[in-house]
Amino acid sequence: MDDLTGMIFDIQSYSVHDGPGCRTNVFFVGCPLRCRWCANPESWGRKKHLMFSERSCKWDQGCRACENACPAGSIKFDEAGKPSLNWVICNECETIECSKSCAANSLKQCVRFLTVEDLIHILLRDFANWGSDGGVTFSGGEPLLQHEYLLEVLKRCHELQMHTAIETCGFAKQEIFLSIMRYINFAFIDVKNMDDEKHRWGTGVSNEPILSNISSLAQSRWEGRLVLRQPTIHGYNDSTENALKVIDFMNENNLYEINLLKFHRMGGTKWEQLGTPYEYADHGDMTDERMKELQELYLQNDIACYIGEDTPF
Amino acid sequence: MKHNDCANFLNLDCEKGMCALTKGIVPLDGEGSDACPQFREGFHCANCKNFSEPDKYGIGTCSGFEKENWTYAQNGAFCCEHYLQK
Amino acid sequence: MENESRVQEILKRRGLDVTPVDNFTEADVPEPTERFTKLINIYYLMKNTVDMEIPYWYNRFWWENEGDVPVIRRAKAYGAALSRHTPTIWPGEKLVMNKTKNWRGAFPFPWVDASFFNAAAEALMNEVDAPPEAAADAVSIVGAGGGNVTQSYGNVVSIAKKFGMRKEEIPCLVKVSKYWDNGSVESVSDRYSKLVPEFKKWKAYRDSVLIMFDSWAIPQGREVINYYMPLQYGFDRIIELCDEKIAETLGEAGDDGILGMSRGYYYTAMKETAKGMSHWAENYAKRAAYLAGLESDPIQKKEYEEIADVMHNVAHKKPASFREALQMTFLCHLGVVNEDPQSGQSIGRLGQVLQPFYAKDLADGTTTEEEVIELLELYRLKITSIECFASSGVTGGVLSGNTFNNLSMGGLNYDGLTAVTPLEYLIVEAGMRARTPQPTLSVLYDEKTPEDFLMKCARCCKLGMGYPAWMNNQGGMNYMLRQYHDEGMNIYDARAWCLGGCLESSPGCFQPLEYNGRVWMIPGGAAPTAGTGIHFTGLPKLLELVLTNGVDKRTGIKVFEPHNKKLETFEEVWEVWMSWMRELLEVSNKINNIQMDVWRKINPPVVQSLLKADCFKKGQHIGDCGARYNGSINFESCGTINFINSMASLKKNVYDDKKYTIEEMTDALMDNFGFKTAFETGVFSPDRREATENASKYEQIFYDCVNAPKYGNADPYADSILKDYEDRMLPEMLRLRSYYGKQYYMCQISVSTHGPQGAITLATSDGRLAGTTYADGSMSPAPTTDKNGIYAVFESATCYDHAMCQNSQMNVKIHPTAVKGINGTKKLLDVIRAYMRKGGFHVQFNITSSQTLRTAQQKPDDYRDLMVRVAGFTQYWCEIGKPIQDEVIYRTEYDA
Repeated sequence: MDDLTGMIFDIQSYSVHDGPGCRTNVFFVGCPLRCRWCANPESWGRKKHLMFSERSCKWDQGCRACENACPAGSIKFDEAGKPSLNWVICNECETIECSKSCAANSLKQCVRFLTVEDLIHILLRDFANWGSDGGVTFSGGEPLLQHEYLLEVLKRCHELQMHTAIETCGFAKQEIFLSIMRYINFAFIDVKNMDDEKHRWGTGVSNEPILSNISSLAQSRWEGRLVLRQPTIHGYNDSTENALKVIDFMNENNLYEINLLKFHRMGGTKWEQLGTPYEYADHGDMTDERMKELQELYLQNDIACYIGEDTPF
Repeated sequence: MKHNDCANFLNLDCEKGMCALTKGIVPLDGEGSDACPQFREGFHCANCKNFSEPDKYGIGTCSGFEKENWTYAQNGAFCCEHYLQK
Repeated sequence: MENESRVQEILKRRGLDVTPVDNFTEADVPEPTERFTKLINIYYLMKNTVDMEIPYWYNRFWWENEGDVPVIRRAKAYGAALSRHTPTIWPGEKLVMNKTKNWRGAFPFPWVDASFFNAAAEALMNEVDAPPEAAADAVSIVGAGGGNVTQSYGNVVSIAKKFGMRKEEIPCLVKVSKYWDNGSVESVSDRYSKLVPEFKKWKAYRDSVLIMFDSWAIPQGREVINYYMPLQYGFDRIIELCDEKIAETLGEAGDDGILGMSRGYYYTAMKETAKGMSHWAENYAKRAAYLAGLESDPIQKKEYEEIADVMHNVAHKKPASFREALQMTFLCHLGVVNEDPQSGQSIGRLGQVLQPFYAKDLADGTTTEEEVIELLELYRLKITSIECFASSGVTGGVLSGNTFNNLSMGGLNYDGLTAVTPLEYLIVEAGMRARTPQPTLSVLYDEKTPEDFLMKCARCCKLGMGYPAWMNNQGGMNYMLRQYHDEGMNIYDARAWCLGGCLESSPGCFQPLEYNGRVWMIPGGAAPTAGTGIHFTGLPKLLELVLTNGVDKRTGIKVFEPHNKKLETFEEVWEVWMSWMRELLEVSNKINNIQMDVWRKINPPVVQSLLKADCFKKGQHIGDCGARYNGSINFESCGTINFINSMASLKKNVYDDKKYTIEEMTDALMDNFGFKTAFETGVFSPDRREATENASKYEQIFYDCVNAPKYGNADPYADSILKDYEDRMLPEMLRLRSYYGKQYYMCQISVSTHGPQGAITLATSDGRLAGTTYADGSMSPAPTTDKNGIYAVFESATCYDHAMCQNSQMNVKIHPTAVKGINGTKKLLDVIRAYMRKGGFHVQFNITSSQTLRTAQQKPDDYRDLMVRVAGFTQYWCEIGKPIQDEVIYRTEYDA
């Protein structure tokens, strides 16, 4: 299967919040969901694309290195000497030549194409560094979108006895989902909203396949550890009602771990970089009190609930 | 008389010291640097019977040892075996 | 973690077997003792102070013993100074003694270096003669800089921009210095250095700052003290032993026609030294008794009386308790650091040396763990208060004001089992509670080290003080066997190694201590100073000179004879660079050999020569190869990674891709790629770029230089150049001969020289701009050039065998949230272990966010106690220079 190529957005070593121990986190490009609060919108599309990081741009120190770098004329400078991009042009761009002009890496192409062996080579380099608990985490974007590639990677991981984890939205055909999960030791699966309508509104898709995938996994002979995850968003899924539904669902499926991630606006600048206005730019943050109340609710219902990075792994 | 001329003075640094009696930090210069009524003459070459003829910088002669030599007034003499309080 | 016990219950009930869940919260670190807190609050107010008491007495007795055998004359002078300067004890202290009468005290050593003061004599006297200022002006300027006295005020004269001296002491300083004008180590060695035919070359290296510093400037240090003799015998018995040895050896040559006769003089000198040390301790006993007499508070009075008892015993007998033993080691430590200007005088494996005393006291019920922790806290403050007065460039430039008194823990014992002792747990505990820059702690990581000890050390690391640093025990042992095998190094002695100075692996040995009815094999130092060979050499600067055909553009100095080569191949660049490196090594070695030989002949160390194995056994001082191992002299490099990256860029852009000619590349570098230099902008951090009108001309070449392959990304293109460099240098080291007649080795730590050496280096072909600080150490990637994460950095770093060299140095900056909680501690340990298992020699951490550092740079007064790890040592943030501050902020931060 050497011709199989994965589109990888980023590889992060010494990742310590994405599963047990020290891990290497592989971010896959592409996602079937369109969450309104997404922190990684650049990984939605499955193609090479440009990122522009204004923060690291040296325009204020007089740099104009990218002035003539775009053959389509996307880059313009204002009177102060600050560059701006025409995202209509950039979103269609296939070549991303401008990134070669920027010494500060403010303009960069953010997708790598890796064969199974390319990725395994990197993982093998990191293997000895993980320690007894760690391993590799496949994340995204949504790793299940590139399931053929992922499956081959996972088979190699299994041969090498690497500990594998996945962070997934769970939105995939059941047979694909289960074929992947066979090789996964530790899974985070997002449950964004128990109400299907709200789920559709927030993410663009129904929650039915997701919940069904989780149930079928829970009822299978799968021996991995499953932790549900919820990006907790004020006014969207932080109600007691929703939590009680999650609790019921978990109890039905004998699931007992959930990780609530307090909504943060980190994705904001990335939206700007991609030329899309960010809907959640001024959205209210979750309060710590409410997070604690939710945790209390889960704990009272015999479910181990962790907030943010405060996890027992 | 200044704090640092006093036998109750404990050195700290180039601008201040400590009073062994009050345990307070005392300045060597300027305001508050004058000794209090509990003052007792400290252990310095300047206060030794073997010290003589200091120049304007306080450098004088020490005749306490076998071989005569120069010394300076502010030199500490607590541990000098030939120190004789004036 | 919040609700930890409830979560655990649920998981257990649900049948989830999570092994490490017993405790995922870490207990809070207890506050330090009240005694420590009171004292450190005074410490924070202290100014670095130099005074003349010790130089005065030293000078007087040196003069009175004119004509005596040098080592005896020196011992008499030093002994006289120790016996007579003022002892100061402050209320609340339990552990006592200071270098001088002042808290952060130091003093000049004109017999080593007088020119600094003699050149300034007139200016200093003018300050004394100036009319007194109004009282209002006589107040010190408090501000950034902590205890540094950066300028004169009132009756205080600033010396070397670091120390304050009282005006009334200046005439004494001038008078004493004058005496040494022609007789200091500096001036005598200078006289003979000038006779070396290549002296002018060496001067050009120095004047262009291609290399920094003279060996005489800090002739001791980067070595490990050996506390065995006084712990085993006590000073009264040592004096008796000297008498016995004098009777046995005076007039007897034995089989050695030169050193045989010297033994009698050696033992005579040692007797004077031991007497001086004993007197010094006794003076503190007297002082304590005197203060007890003044004291009205019964508790403080009793404490003074206890001090008097302890100091009296320490002055005469072998220690009989943990407190006495600790006090004895501290006395010896100060005795050593007061005999020469020095830094990096390491404590060694103190928790193994003192374990017998601790064990007995604990078993007898005469002390408790908490009482021992209190003493260890006070010990931290004592070591932190050690200041060094060397010439100004050395004090600020190399040391950043730190004296690197390193304490090592772990490793293996004589039997080859883990050497970790119960006392070492308390040393870490004291380091966690009482947060001070010194002593810095080093863990000799071995697979046999107990996991709970490693976890405790990792926990300590997370508190953000930068200690402990982690060293590879097996790597260190391998290096010992490699470097010292010709001198008889065996597996037992190899196990006794530890860190001398911040990162200098130093040989040791085990000696049998009789205590409490049994024999304990305790480790201690067995070699003289390291790091007094060829000093910090800027590798990127040498490459710059290759490109400029030997002329230093900054100063116009012709540093090397023109090579006049076209540099048509990459190999040709290597060849010229290596041939000049070879010349630099050979020439510098001669000069440094003279400097150190003059030092050992006219200014031999006496306390160190009493303590260090095997001087007393052989009857030879350190200068006469009295130590068991003498191949301790090294070559220090700086800017390794900028050099490697620059070579990678030349290879890529000029030779492989042929995108630019070497002339085009050189032009771009000379023109700083069209940017303003760090001196023009005042920012030494590489992320600041201010364009000039030339910038557009160099945009493409700058981009290509920045994006050329870089070390730290597991990219063999760059890493193979590093391996090549190490392989090319090793044979050069083995060929050189130090003044001890032994081979050299590589010492790859920058200390703080990456600031000043970066400052004099023009732009480099890795895209580093002129004047900006080099990447620190030898293994840390250039800031922000490591794009593939920390594991890729480890892969790059271990592309060669670290045991080839004395050390390597890796700084890692981690955001505190990445290692939160007990799981975070485990993950930190995992990352350390990963690097150690790959054969990395050293790794250390800054676990303070860049944001905090930036704020602290703006408001230094609010962050008086903030500490950072620089290049092998921890220092107060406010006491380090701005170029180094900028570099620390700019380092890549791993936030996971």
